[in-house]
This record gives sequence, structure tokens and C-alpha cells, in this order.
Amino acid sequence: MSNSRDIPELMQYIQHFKPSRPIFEVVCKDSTLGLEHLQRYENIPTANDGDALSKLAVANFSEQFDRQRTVFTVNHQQIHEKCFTDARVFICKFISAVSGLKNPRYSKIYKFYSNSYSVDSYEMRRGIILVYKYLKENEPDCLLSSFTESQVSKNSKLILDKLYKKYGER
Amino acid sequence: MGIFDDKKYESLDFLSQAIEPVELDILKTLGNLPNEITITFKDLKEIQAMRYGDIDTYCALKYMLALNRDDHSSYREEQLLADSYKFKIEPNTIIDFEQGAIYGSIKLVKVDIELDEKTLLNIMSEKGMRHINGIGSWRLDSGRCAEILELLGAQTIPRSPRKKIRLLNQLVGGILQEDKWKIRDGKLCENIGLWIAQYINNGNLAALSNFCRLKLMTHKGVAIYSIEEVE
Repeated sequence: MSNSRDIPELMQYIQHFKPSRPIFEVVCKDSTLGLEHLQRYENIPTANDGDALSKLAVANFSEQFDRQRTVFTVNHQQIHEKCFTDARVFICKFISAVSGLKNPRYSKIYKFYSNSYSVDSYEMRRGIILVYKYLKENEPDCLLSSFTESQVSKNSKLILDKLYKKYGER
Repeated sequence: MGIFDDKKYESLDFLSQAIEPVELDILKTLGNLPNEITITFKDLKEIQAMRYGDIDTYCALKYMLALNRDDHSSYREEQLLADSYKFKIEPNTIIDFEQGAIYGSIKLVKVDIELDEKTLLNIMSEKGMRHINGIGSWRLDSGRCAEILELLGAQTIPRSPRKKIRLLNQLVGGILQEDKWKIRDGKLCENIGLWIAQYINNGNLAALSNFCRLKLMTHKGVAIYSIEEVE
């Protein structure tokens, strides 16, 4: 089920996630019966090498077993939201690392990106995901102090500043 | 036949009179339950839908035998029935919800045929205490409660209604749990609490008469199965 707020760059991976087959081994321990899912019927997706968004989507993959319908279900929307939250938290850490301030958590830009309500618009969400992809693919160690002066970090910081000025300072 | 005779005891055969077996509904139920119950795919699907975690014998037995809690059985009794069963599964049993099949077998097998005497006395005591627990200290008739306490053999009777009830609980619980009166019938145990509660709450003289009659019968020192009740 797609939503108008879904970010296509992320959703292209998530929408292909399929649930596992509901086949279990019955195990008996301490006079109780348990159902253990058989590994060979698990349908865990694999990430594409060098693709940050694919890795992010796979890392957040989860499925639930519906006991009434006896099927596994994958909630694509929930995975999408988890991915976005992870990306937003990463961006906050990045801002904290590159800001050069003594207490970066008290800065306006940090507060803006750390508040999930302030970055709720489609443009902001897409912007965060794309900056995350750019950072992760070009400078995976951007949170370390030695990389905060790199060109990728500077570009990302500039983009985040611009986004903040456009959507935050209203 | 006198009014203090135990008709049920008299009707027992020589051997039963010698061993004085306890008569409880749970024992009859346990005897009537099947020795082995096979759980099919449909059953397992229903049972697992009833629970969030693992499936225990209580849950499985309740579904398989459609056990319904009537007025005389408690959760503890049902749990005891469930504890007398164990799961027996074939190694590598697989359940396929896609195809709707179990590859292997799952069974409930009865392992305990008898319950030990301590457990039975505990159940009898719980039955006896069921009605006594319903007596509230806010509406207690102190005089009637003191009479019952005296009959139960209390040395000193406290003034506080709350303490009276606590003492009543201790005395009745002790008598039934330690088997001082040799009562061998679950229904009779339940009636002891009922008569005490009826007399204390409403001043029911028939209840007091029944209780006194039972108290007198305990002096014989033989097992008691029934008394001739006054309606």
C-alpha cells in the first residue's frame, strides 16, 4: 500500500519485501508447546553492495506472525517510517559532529532536525533521505572528527543549512 | 439410625471404610478423562490463536475437552487436571500453516492418575474457605461470630471484628488443612463454610444446627462423609 508521503528512493526497496512462509517446527519444553520458525523458510532480504538506502531498508526489515490468520505479514509503511527515523537520527549525529559548537544539541538547526514534527513535510523527508544516501555512500565515516572537514561533509552541511533556512525559519 | 449417623459412611464397603478415601469432584473428573488425546492441525490452529506465547497443557486441555468451569470447580482444580497431562510429540514434528497440515504427531498424555493427599486437603480447605472469605468485617454480628469461634475451640476471642474474622479464617483453615475433623467429602467441606457464613451473616438457625451436628459427629473420631441436614 503506497502513501503520498512515501519517499520513492526508499520505497523501491521496501515494496519488494515479501513475508516468510508460515512453516514451524513444534518443540516441547517444560510441558509447553512452542513453535519455532524454520530458517529455511525465512524470507530475509539481502542488501545491494554500496547502496546505502538498500542497506537501511534491509536493516529495518521485520515481519509479524498473525496468529488469527496464521500468516506472516510485512508492514511496508512501518519499515518505511523506521528507516526515515534512523536516517533522521543519523543526520542529527552528523550535525552534532560538524557544527563545531560547544553544545550542538542546543543549536536551532539541531533542534529542528531532531524534532520529528518539524521535518514532517514530504520535501524535508525526501531531503533528509537523499542527504543520508549521499553521506553514507561517499563518506561512511563522516561522524569521525577526521572526516568532518571533508568536501562531502561540507556539501552535506550546506544542503542541510539550506533546507533549514527554507523550511525551518518560517 | 440416629441423627448423628453418617449414612454415606455406613453404605461404604469394608475396604472403603478401612481406607477412608476422599470424595471430590476433581477425582471423578480426572478418572473420566481420556488417557491420550491427539491434537490435529485444526485444534492446534485454534489453540495457538487463543494465546500470545507458548501453548501450555491448561490451554490445550481446556480447548480439547471443552472444560467449563462450573460452580464447584476452581481455576486451581482445572490447573491440577492440566498438570496431570504432558505433551508428547514425535521428533521433528512440523506444522505447515500454508498447506494446513502437521507432519508428525502431537498428543496429550495423562501421566498422573492420582493426586496426593496433601493436594486434596488443600482443595478441601479452599472449598471450605470459599464462603468464609465472603464475610465482611463491616457488617459482622460480633455475638454470632464469637459463638462460632467458641465452637471452633478459640481460647480467647478478640474484640475487633477484623481480628475475629482473621481468627475464624485461621481456625477453619487449620482444621481442614490438618484434617482434624476427618472430613472426607468436598461438598461437606464447602457446606461448613456456607453454614458458618449463613449463621454469622443472617442468623440462620438451621445452618447453626447443621454445624453443631457436624461438630458433635467429629467426637467419634471416624471419617465423615455426610450428615443429616436440617433444611
